[in-house]
Amino acid sequence: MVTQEVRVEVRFAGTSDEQALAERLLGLLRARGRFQSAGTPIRVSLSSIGEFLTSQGDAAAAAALGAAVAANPAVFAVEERNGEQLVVTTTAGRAPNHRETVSGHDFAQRFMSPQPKPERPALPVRERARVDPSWATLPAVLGDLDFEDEEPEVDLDVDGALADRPVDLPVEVVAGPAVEAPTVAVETPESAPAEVEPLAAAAPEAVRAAEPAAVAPSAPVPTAAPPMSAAPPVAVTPPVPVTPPVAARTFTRPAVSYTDVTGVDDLHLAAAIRRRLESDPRIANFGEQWMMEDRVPRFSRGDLRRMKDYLQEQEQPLTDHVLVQDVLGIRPSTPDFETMRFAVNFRLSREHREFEFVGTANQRFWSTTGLPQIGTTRRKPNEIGTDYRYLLEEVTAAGAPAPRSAPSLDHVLTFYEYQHGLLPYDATMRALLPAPLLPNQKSAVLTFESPQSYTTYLVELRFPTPNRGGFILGLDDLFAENLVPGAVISLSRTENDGHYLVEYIAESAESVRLLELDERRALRYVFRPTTYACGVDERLLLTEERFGRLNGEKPVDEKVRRRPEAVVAATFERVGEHREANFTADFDALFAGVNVERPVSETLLRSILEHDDTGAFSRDPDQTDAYTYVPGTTP
Amino acid sequence: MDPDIQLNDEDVALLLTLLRNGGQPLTTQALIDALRRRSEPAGDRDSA
Repeated sequence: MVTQEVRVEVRFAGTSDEQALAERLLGLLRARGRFQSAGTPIRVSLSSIGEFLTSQGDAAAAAALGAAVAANPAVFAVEERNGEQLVVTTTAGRAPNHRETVSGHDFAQRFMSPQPKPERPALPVRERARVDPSWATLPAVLGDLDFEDEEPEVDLDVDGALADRPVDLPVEVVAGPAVEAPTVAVETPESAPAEVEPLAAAAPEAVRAAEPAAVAPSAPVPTAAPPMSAAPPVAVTPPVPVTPPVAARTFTRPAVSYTDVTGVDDLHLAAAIRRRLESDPRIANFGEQWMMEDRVPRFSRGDLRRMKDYLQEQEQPLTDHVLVQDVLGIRPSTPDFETMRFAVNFRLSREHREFEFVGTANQRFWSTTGLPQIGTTRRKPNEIGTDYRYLLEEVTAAGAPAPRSAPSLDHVLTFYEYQHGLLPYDATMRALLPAPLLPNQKSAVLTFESPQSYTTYLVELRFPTPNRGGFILGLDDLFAENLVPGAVISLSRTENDGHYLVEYIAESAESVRLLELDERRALRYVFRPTTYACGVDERLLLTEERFGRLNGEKPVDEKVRRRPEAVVAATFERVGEHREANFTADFDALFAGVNVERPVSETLLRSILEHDDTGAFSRDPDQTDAYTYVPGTTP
Repeated sequence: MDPDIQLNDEDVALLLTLLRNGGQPLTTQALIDALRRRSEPAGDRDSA
């Protein structure tokens, strides 16, 4: 609390009267602003002060008021407001100075306008290490060069022979590092060859200027030797390593040239693509599809296990379509469905221990361990393959037809095929069915659709191996429900190379006693009444009238059935006509009878009958297409 | 024309570019078509 007013002494300027008047004026103004702070301006109009002084009877002072104010600018200031002059001072006795408001350092303003972030200096651009493009075609460049022809013959005569004749050396040789100068990166267009001109050719003046420098080291320099008049001049120069001059070469970089494939057909072009891309680890390939390996989605061990579990749960091979949809939960309408299908095929093909590809190009089936066998269990697939071994020789001799080159085929069922629900993979079947999609593919699962029974059968095509023939398994139900041995069936392909139509000739029902293998007690052949409604080939229809002697017969021993000749001999005794000591049978009966025990083609049977070295079989001259068999000379 | 044609590095580079740009697997026929398109004269390519 201020309890005492501190008066500040003020010194005035001007004359004594002016000083006295100024002091009086300051007193008046201080009285007026008595309660104001020290720095607050006190404004009073000059006219009102003059009137006050006049009223006090001091008119002279009122007249001299302007001079007294003007004489003390440090104490008084004069302002003009609305045409009236105001004298301004403060209680401190100082003319109020105009103070600019410092707003640049305002606290609120600092909050409202933060300082901008410091700008980082721009990072310098890193220069990418590039391989000179000319290296890409280095072998071609070196191949085109003929070093022997371009090596100049330079006489390195140290006796000064070089100094006598002009040496036309390119500047690159003399300058040393300039030899590397031709590493000029030349971007060439694809259409035209680019030539890198040598530097020497580009600047012949520079070459001429460099000539003395090139020659000087190899020649004796008389001026450099000390002036010795008595001693003979020594012209021996130390051996100077002379860089063999290299003639300026013109490097002609071959233009970027693609292979002209105009005259190449698609098959050869596809083979060329496969040769180049198949071994490239950057590229993923499955069948006829290609993709960059790093873009193929990968599967976890859990995904693979779920696929395997699903296959085992369904107890049959499944297509990639089903695996992607059911196991991975991806709908066919999603954009990446095809990519996932490719990923399933490509990734599973690398899991040899867990999964096996058993599909075709259009119908990609996958199998795993532990699935039940497709088709008959009466006979092992390996034994069936051994039975069909003769097909390997027949196909080799006749030449293997191109896969899927035939649109359809007709086939007459034999007893063996009917009994096991299979078909042979012979030459005609090769022409209809696809080849293995993968190199080591053992089998392919196909779908055979029977439009007449509205049923689709899952069958397995076992491809031939080096010592076993091929065959198709899984038609047991189709045969047993609709056909009989001797029935004619037709197989036709569809656009899908894994799907085929199997049809038979529908006819009115007939009932006859046909041969069957009774498996309920001991294995025996019996004749039972059978009703069938399909077209048959009478030659292979095993009726009781033609083959009655088979009734009650047991199947031949396994050792016998391994040898076709022995089976033919046994068949003669079963179906042939006994004449004197021989058996006679026509070819059709033999063919049908032998195929009861084991598969035999007409070609093989004819070969056995015609080319028998033992003399057991011979053609019967009395009958058309009949043969005789002499017992006791079984081949 | 030799049926056993060999593709050079430029051809392989083209096929790799094609595979890199494709989001889905490409068939062998698509690769063959790409090689054929490149072998066509410029005029034929434009008209196609």
